[in-house]
Parts: sequence; C-alpha cells; structure tokens
Amino acid sequence: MVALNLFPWRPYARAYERKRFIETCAISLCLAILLNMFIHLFLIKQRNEAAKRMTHLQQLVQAGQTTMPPETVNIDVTSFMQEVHHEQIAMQQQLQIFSQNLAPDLCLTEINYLDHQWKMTGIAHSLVSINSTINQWNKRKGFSKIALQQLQMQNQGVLQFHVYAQKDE
Amino acid sequence: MPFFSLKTSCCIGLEVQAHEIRFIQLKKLKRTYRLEQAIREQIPAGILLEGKISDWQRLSSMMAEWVRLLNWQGLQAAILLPSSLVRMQQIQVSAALKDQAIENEIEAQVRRDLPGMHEALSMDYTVLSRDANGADIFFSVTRQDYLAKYIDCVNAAGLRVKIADIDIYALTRFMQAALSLSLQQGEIGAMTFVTKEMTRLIIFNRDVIIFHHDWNATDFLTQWRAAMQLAMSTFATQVIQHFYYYGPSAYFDMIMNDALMTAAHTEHCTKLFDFLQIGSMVDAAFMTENAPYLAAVCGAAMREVPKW
Repeated sequence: MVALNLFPWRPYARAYERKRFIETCAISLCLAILLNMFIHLFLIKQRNEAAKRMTHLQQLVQAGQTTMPPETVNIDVTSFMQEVHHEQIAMQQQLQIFSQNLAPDLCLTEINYLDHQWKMTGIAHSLVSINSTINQWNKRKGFSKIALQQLQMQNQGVLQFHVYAQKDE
Repeated sequence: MPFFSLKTSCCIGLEVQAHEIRFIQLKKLKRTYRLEQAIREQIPAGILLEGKISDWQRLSSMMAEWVRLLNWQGLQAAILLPSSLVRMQQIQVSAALKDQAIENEIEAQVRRDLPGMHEALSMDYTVLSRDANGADIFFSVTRQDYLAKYIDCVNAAGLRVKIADIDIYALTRFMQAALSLSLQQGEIGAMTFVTKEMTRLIIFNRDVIIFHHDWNATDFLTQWRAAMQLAMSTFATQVIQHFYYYGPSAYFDMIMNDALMTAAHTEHCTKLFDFLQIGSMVDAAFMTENAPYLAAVCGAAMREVPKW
C-alpha cells in the first residue's frame, strides 16, 4: 500500500539529505585530518627515535675514539715499519752479495726486484766469467734458485746476459 | 537531529473527527509496536463545523493540555485527514518528467477536473510503475490553507507534525497489520468496517485504494449492497478475491449469505489490537470498547517516522 504524505515533506527531505551530505563530508574530512595527524605524529616520533639512536651512536663512536689505546695503532705501524726495515736490510744484504762476488770482467747494468724475484742484466767478456759469478752467488745463502735466462753476443765479443734469482721464502 | 540516532522511534497518531479527538502513542519495537497511550475525547461544541475544524485556537489549547499532561512535547506526530477533504486519483504522465513537472501536471489535472478550484493545493504522489510509455502516478491533493492551519495547530500544541495521512489509508494499513494480509499483484481486496455510527467499505489492490464509500449505520444490508453494486459498476472487470470484515457478527452473516459476496477468501476480524503489545498505561477495558474508533489513528501512528 502506498504511503502518501500530504505534509510538504520534500523540501525537508532535500534539506535533510543536504545536511547529511555535509555532515558526511565534514566527518570524512575530520577523519582524514586526524589520520594525517596520527601519521605525522608517528613519523615525527620515528624520526626523533632515529635521531636519538644516531646521537647515541655518535657518542659511542666518539667515546670509542677517545678510549681506544693509541699503542694499538702504533704497534701495528711500528711492526709494519720494522718489517719494511727488515726487508730493506735483506735487500741490502742481497745486493751486497751480488756486488761482492762479481768476476773482474763482468759488470751488472740493470737490477730489478719484484715479488721476491731478482732480474739482473749485465755484460761480460767471457762465458766463464758469467758462470763463475753465478756459481759464487749459488754458494751464498739467501736464494732458492739462480739461473741464466738469456745470453747474447754483443759487438766486440761482449756477452750480454740476463740472470734470474729466486729469493728464499 | 544527531548523525547517529539510537533512540527508539515513537510517534503520536492524531485524528480529529466526528466531534472527538483521538490520540495514539506507538513505540516502534524490533518486530512490532507497543501501544503506550490511547485517548479518545469529545470535542466541545463550536470547534468543529460541518466536519471541518473551525476554531483552531481552542483545539490547539485542548491538544496542548494533553501534550503537557502526557509529556509529549516535541514528539513526532502523524495527523489524519478525512478522505472527504482529499482528492485521490491515478494518472499517467510522461516517463521523463521530473518532480516539479509531475507536480505541475497533477495541479493542472486537478484544475481541469475542478474548474472552480482556485485555492493553493498541498499534494503528494507516488510513482506506481514506470516504463518507456510513461509513468503511472497516484496522487492525493487537499486544500493547502486547511492543512497548514491543521499542522500549525498541532505544532502549537507542542507536537511536531511530520506526516499528514488519509484516514482510509491509515485504516487499511492498520487492518493489513491486524490480519497480517498482503495482496499479490493483480489481486483485489474489499473491507467492510462497521462501528455504531458509521459503516465504511474500502476496495483496494496491492498498491492503492480503488474505491471507498462511507454511510451511516442504518439499514446496513441495503446500504452495503448499494455500495458494492456501485463499486462493481465502477470496476466491472475486476473481481474481489479477498473480503475482510470488522463489526457485528449478525451483519457478517448477512453479507456471507448475500449474492454479491463472491470473494473466495473471507475473514471476520474480531480482535483489532491483539497484534500490538499493550503498554501498562493502557486500560484493556477501554481498548475493548473503543478499538474500532482508534484503528485508523493507530494506522497513522504506525507510519514510518521520517528521518528529516
């Protein structure tokens, strides 16, 4: 059965719907603002906590730097320097070996050192001189292997040679 | 009005008719209603004139007394208009018409039918069906001046009028609830409602009342036959399938034995307010005695209270 209403209800119903719409919009807006505010506050809190953590870490780093014993670093540097020094002494000794046991008619023109290996280039008047020198070097300690790598006849009977020497580990 | 209201809706039905004023206070429950108050009081002479209210001031004062006494200030009210003051009709309009255009069409229709009618009108309508060919509109109109005075009078008494219903629709609504009846599409029902003073015949389908006739309670059967013959001549193609009756049993027996009674299903209603919960403030003896006079006004109070 139809429900007629002779009371002029349509303007009231329209006004109610309009009011309801505005209320809905206002509530939605308020909720959105509240949500936004909560997210904002949450992010601010997160940021503050992160900043606190950062400050704490920086304090720890600073505290660590100030409390770290300087000897530790010095000990490492010193030992490194000592190693370098020992290495230099060893090289000097080896160079002395090379220089002290040369045949009279033999001359070293180039000496290279890389990765515990010596490469020496020189000239001599005879193969005997070269052989004699290598034998002398072999007699001395400090090398695991010494070998003639290349031999080349130069002008006026001069021999150019290349010697390879492996340092003891 | 709050955005979310949990208040149980309560409505006052109000009818001013036949030299008396009738109030019903109904509270809507989950599945039914509770009758909180029921009042029927004689109106002093001079307030009503030829069935219409003439002394609005005195009537308002009288209502205000009841409103104050029962603490009804601000409650929503549904008032009843006698069907004699309302014109109801079904028309077909273009399906494309909007609200204002439909109202203009209804007003034009009423002015055409009643050439002498120059007063402002209050109207309401409902769209019964709508398709590509047009829309079936059922409308009711009444004089705006009388209705506005009626509304102002009730509002001045402290109530808030939200519904202006028509007595025959309110009575039919009440009877449908009392008998738990609902018609299917295309079915026709007839109802005869008899009180000591008046008999009312209402013929209706699922949506609207298609015929109604009132007469004084004299020579019941002759008058009833005349009304039924008038109805059948008006709606010759339609057959009444359901017949409902409220009134003395002797009259019901007369109707049942009459040749005009062809309805397949008949029902004699004897207890009108049994489907409602009766509140503690309502006297059972009073309700038994006055039930038929309060049925229509209760039907008005049963209207769904609008949210606006």
